[in-house]
Amino acid sequence: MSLPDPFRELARRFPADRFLTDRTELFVYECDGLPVHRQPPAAVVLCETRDEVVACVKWCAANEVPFVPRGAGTGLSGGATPVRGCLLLDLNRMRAIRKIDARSRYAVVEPGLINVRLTEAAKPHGLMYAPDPSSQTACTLGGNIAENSGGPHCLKYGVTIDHVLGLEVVLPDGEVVRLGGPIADHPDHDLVQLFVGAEGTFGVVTEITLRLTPDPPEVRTFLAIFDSMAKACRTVTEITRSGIVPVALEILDRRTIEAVEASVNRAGYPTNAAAVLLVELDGFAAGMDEEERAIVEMARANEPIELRSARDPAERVALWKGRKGAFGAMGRVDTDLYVLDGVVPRTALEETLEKVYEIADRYRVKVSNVFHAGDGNLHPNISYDGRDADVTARVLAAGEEMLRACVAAGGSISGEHGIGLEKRDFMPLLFGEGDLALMTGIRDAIDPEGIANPGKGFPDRRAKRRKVRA
Amino acid sequence: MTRRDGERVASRAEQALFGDDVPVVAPRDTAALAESLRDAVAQGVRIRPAGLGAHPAESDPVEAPRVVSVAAFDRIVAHSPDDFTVGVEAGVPLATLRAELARHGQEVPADLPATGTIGGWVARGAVSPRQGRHGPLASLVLGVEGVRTSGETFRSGGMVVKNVAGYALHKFLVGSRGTSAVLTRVNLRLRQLPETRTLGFLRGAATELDEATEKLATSGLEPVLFRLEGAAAATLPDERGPGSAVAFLFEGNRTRVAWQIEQAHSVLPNPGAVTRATDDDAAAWLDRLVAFGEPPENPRADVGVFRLSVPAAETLRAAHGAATAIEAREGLAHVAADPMTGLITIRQEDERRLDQSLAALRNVATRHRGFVRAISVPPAVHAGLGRVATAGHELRERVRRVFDPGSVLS
Repeated sequence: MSLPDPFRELARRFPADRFLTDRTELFVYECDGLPVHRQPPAAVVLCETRDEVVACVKWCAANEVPFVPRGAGTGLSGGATPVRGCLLLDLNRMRAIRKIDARSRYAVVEPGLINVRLTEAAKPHGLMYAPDPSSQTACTLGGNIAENSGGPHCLKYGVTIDHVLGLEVVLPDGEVVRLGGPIADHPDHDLVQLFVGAEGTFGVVTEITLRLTPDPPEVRTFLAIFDSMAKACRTVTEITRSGIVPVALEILDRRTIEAVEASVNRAGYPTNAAAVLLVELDGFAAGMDEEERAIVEMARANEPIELRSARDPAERVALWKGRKGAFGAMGRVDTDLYVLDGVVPRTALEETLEKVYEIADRYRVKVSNVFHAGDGNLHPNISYDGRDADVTARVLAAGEEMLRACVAAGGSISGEHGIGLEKRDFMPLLFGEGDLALMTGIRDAIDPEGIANPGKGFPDRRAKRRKVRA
Repeated sequence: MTRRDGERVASRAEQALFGDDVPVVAPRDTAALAESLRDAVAQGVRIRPAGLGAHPAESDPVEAPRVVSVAAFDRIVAHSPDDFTVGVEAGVPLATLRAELARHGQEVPADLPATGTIGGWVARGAVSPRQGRHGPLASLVLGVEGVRTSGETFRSGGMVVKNVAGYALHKFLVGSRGTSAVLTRVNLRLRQLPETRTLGFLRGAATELDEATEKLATSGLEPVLFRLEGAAAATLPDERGPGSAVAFLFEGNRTRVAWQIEQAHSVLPNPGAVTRATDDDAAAWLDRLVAFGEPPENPRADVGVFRLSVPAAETLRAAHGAATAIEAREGLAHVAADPMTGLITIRQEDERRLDQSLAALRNVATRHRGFVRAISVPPAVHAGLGRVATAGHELRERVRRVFDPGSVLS
């Protein structure tokens, strides 16, 4: 592929194997985990240092070329999808752990570090990194910062934003700023909190200071299997109401159970199971028996088909097997999978799920639900054949209506996947024009040229005005 | 200044809080608040948002010629006990919120001071003795609503416990001291009140107490832990007054608290010297510890309150460094240091040396890779302190001006 002249000038600064322009090499970068949107970048730089990121961003600013930062590309909202003519900054090679301070419980890492690697490194110190997206063996911490990622265990420990203490950021003009650090107070408005979840629209994160959490000495996991979703949801509501905070409260619905049972991750769920509720407690063993007994009683009151519990790591892996294997099992249902991400108050779970099923029936799409019930974070998953335009249109329309149902219940259009390209046009469901103008005003104040991951997060009125090079 | 529709007359008590010569605008609703802000912009008058005027020394600027009070925004609008969330108007007194939540066996898992409003508490970015256990205030804020100086209303976040739609302005504004916008509503995450609390404490020689503190901090337990010096130790329930002490508090279910107390004793070099207090005394100690870190009721009193924040591992060294720096200038430092978070509150009751103390504390902070702020100093001292530009200051100001282009609030 022939490059525009300015790109050639930039290409000369990097070894050929770290500046990708070949169409086949660019192919893998044309989308993230949301394949609905695809666009190859003009070029990809495999950055290895902060100074290289600075050089690239300064070059982009000087040449009015948009840039898109990218980690592992596991995001599900199109946050890392390239825009036409962009330079894509691949940060996977910046994966060093620069420091672990066990006494002060923090780590300093580069953005390309894979999430689970930090917990592995912290474990010998009796610590862990708590946010654990389902993709934690592949996703990068920089990507987690961009999307403010969650995970099954965030019910107790909070999502990414609750664990970020400091950032080093390359702003869209190439200036490097350090925000926050390993201290608990900050001098003023907290810019770290603003940058987490900003989807790369404020620049590129090149170093991250993260809070580490004590590795819990005791973990208890148990399953309650029900013949109706309503019973599972009622149990969740009762657990929440009791004030006990498990580390995870996850639900799989009937269609997910069927897919799991037909896959290699078969978990041995009963054939009449309509909902599996997975509960995990962690912390000190002392006092955990009482909490476990209370939760089991609440589950029993809702007449489960079966209760299972794990007492050791091997049994725990077995109980998690169905949950962890759920997304993989969806691959059996159809060629494509649209993973939605909405949130409702915990007390509105049951009624919202009923609406989700009703919408799926009405649009004649196959929906299954695997979700973080404890924090009201729904993930309706629609399996479909993306080669069929009519089906795809129905899938997208059903998805929008499901998110509208979440908002109508007092919830939100994203709990952990971000807005990206996928949901930018749904932002007016949640926010008024003034709210959006304020947020885009902040984006424009930090990125007046509109080159930092443009078009993400908000209905993009500016895209039409922006100069984009092919 | 004439009063418009939607504005009430500030009460005599309110007026007295801000000084008789300071005009106090007291809108009753968002529309009137928006009008007040637009007015100020049109007239080029700088304004200071306020609740009950409990913490004027932490507001910025102190010399603003007009106060806009949100005391009339005083409703708890959306408490959902089953969902453990609450939506509160900014002028709700903290004591009112605490009492209302307690009726449902719930709390904001932070230690609310006895005075002030929820809006003021969020604007100050107040810290809490239990922050090491429950996280900073920003992690409890689910959403906010407010009014910009243009008169436009805005909202960020929402009422659900997990939400990543839009920039997290509701967390960004925690600690903004009213310099960007006037908050009208705050949504918070709640927790169940702990089943029980047990406080243990030791008095003794500084080196022994430091050793005990480090052993507890690295024990793997989950204490609220403080090393106390001077008047900070007078917060303890033994009525022995000032001195040197270490205090640890456990809360939660009874079995777990009892087990942790037992474990704490097993790591302490001198467990026989531990004094124990339970439930009411423990809760009262938390209240007194909060009060220790709060500005004095009379802001003109000769008292300075400073907060030093360092990496947790540096806590004791920085606390001693701070005390030494103040005492070298003939001041007397009272210190409450939290080795789980690295937050150190320093109280000094000698106005003559307060400006020098802050300069010395800034050096201590730099040495320990931390940051210090004046929580409260008398107005005469405040005027001379100056501000230290911190990392990201220019960027922060760029963002702040999007909220308040005319710098009416700063």
